[in-house]
Amino acid sequence: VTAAEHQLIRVVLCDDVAALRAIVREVLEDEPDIEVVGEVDNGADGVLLIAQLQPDVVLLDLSMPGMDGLEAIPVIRRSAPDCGIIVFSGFAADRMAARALELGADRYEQKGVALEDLAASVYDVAAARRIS
Amino acid sequence: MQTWHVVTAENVVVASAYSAIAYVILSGLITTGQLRTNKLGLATGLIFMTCAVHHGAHSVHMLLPSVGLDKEHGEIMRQAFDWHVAVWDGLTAAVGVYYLSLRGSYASVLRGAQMFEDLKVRQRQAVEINDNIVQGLTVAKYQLDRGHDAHSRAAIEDTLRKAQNLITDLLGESRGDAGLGPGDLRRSAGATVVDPPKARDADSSR
Repeated sequence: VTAAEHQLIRVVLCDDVAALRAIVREVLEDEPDIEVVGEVDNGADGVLLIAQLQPDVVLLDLSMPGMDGLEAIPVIRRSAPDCGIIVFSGFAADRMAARALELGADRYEQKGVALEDLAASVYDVAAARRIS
Repeated sequence: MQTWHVVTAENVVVASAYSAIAYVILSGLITTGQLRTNKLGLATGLIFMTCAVHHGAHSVHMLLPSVGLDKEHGEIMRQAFDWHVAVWDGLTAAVGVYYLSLRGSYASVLRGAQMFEDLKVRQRQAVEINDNIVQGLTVAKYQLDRGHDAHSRAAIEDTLRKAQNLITDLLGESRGDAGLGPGDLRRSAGATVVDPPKARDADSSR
């Protein structure tokens, strides 16, 4: 096990619902290898924060004020190419996932997914990004 | 009066009605910024516009010999259009005028081209339902999963209130044209809500 593999997975939360961010932060920070390094409530601030922090993973809502998730994905892809993007949205996956993945997201999680599965997704996406 | 006189007049009516319908549709799409996004609306408007040109051209061709122009083709067309065509063109003209009269009786439709705003409205409603209902239920579920019962209850109550407001707003939007009357709220089947497990257990033990 190398030192790099022990590095915490740095996560940014980008969602306009404060209560949801608080729960997700709580869940992720219970994980020993995950650190939530920032959170924002809109897409425009999200892309700036992600460019600045260069996190390992962002949990990105789709419907947000200012800039929506679908607009933000390509911007994030350009400004933080190593950042894994997990779209975390209330819209049904069968309607929105393909579009989000096509724009550059790594995974689509529908809101309501079990919280442990969400944390597992963060691990998976971070691992896949580090390997690539 | 010869048959071609009737057919010419009918085609003038059809061309006028279709032009007016195309204008209503296309100007509505332009006004509401849907010219590029509402492909079905655009295609419908273009169909009416091209049909208007087509029927108008028939009239023009049959009238040209009367002013000394294109006699050869005009005379052939006058002879080609018999009473069968006159009947169908008459029906076409009647339907065109009827369609236009229906649209003309709905001022709001003409103002905002609302019949082509359906897609936009549905998308806006979906986003509102996501923002107000799905997000609230997600928070409630996660709070419950984390054992935060009081927070979960608060989220459910807040979401219920938002859902009621949303439904009231949606009903209000439709009230302008139609209004809810007796029978409008009749459902094809009763609403289904999942029984809470404890309630089911209590019921089965009775």
